[in-house]
Amino acid sequence: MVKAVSRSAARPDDFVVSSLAPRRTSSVLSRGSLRAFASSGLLATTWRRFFSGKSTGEACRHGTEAVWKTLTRIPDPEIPVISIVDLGIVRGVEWQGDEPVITVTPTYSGCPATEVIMADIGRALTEAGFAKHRVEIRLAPAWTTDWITPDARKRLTEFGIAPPGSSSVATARVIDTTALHRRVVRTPVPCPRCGSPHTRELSRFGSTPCKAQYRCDDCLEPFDYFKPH
Amino acid sequence: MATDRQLFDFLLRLADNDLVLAQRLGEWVGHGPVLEEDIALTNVGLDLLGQARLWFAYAGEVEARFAGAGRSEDALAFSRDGGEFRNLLLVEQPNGNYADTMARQFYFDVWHQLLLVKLAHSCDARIAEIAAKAKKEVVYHAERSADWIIRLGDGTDESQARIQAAIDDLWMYTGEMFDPDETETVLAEEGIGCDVRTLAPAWREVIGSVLDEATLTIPAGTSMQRGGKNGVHTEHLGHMLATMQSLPRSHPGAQW
Repeated sequence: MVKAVSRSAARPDDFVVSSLAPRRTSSVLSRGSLRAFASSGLLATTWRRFFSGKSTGEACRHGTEAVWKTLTRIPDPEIPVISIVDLGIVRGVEWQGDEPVITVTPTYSGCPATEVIMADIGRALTEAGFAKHRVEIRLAPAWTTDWITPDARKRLTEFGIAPPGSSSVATARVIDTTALHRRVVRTPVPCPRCGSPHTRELSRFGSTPCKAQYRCDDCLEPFDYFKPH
Repeated sequence: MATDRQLFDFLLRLADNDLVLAQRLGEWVGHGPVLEEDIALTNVGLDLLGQARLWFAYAGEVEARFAGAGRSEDALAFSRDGGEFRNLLLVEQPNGNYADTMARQFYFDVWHQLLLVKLAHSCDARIAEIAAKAKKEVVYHAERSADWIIRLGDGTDESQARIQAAIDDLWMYTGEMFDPDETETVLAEEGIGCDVRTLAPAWREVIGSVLDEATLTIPAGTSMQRGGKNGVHTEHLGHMLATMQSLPRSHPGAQW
């Protein structure tokens, strides 16, 4: 019973995803955050004591580290071996008064994971004692897979997903419109299992919008390729 | 001097193209010829839907400047009638067979990419950032649809006949893409939009080279249909909207 209560506090069930419109991130988060704040007391109280006992600059510096640490623990909902920080979508943490402002640059425009990630951020920060926070969406510069950290690329490979190559090829294609021609030179994608370079694209889309489906011609295993973007 | 009303109208065109085509692609869910294609079309539709939302959100903010209150994304998508939609006639055409769907996609993707490349330099910062993000997704769409045109054209007799017919049938809906009206002209002059006439040479070049490789004939027709940008649509849009809008209209405010 106690477990059930604490879970509902941590996962506010009033988070409503309508068919099309995003509820304004801030309002959804603050609604969920307030409720969770009211019942999750201890961490938040500890944090407030810590905050009020320090000079603002020092508190912010420590606070910023704590916020980053919290964000680093939030897994990508579809690729749980990497965090949202590994993915490169968290662009900054800044303080405005006593409120941390987290800037997020979403991946693909229609990625269904985006709203889940926003909710996860709100929940994680609230649980870490930052009931008061704001998440801002920044579109420019657009997200690129070049922002995925080297360590995360290693973990993707271990998970069976070939990590993205450099996005510069994709960028060059955008500028040179005549390169719409299908004979685009594609760099080989090594198999994440056996390392063989003899792989082929089966489908331009895999299990999520950010991946393509490949198969290794040597070990014959199919695998996902995180597309350079 | 462009008015907010004209900017709103321009944004609706961008949003409606994305939304209507996304809905059409969504109609393929569960009906794709193979699982991979079912997934691919859905993902392209998802990208377009995401882009539509960004344009609608901005349109709603612009609308608030001249109308007092701006409509939400949901209201703009589900509560407007066909005559208020500003999409190109091309994107509302029915899915038909797979060749029809890919020909429609190919014509649109190439134009869409060229347009977004230009809009990424718009002096309206919001338009520029949405376009810069969207074009990264659309370049992939264009590559994929070009691949399919070649595969179907340079395929079997049956696939070639079908894709040639689709390319020919949809040709009359392509003129509208390069035919600016007053709204587009004013916004282009101010560096907010772009002169769509300037997209035509690159579009023809790409279309020509892909059709050539696909062993297909470039349509020669010069009689073009137009009207979508001003709300004059083919009969197909209304039927599509009836399905798309029925739930939110029957149950206003429904959430799940």
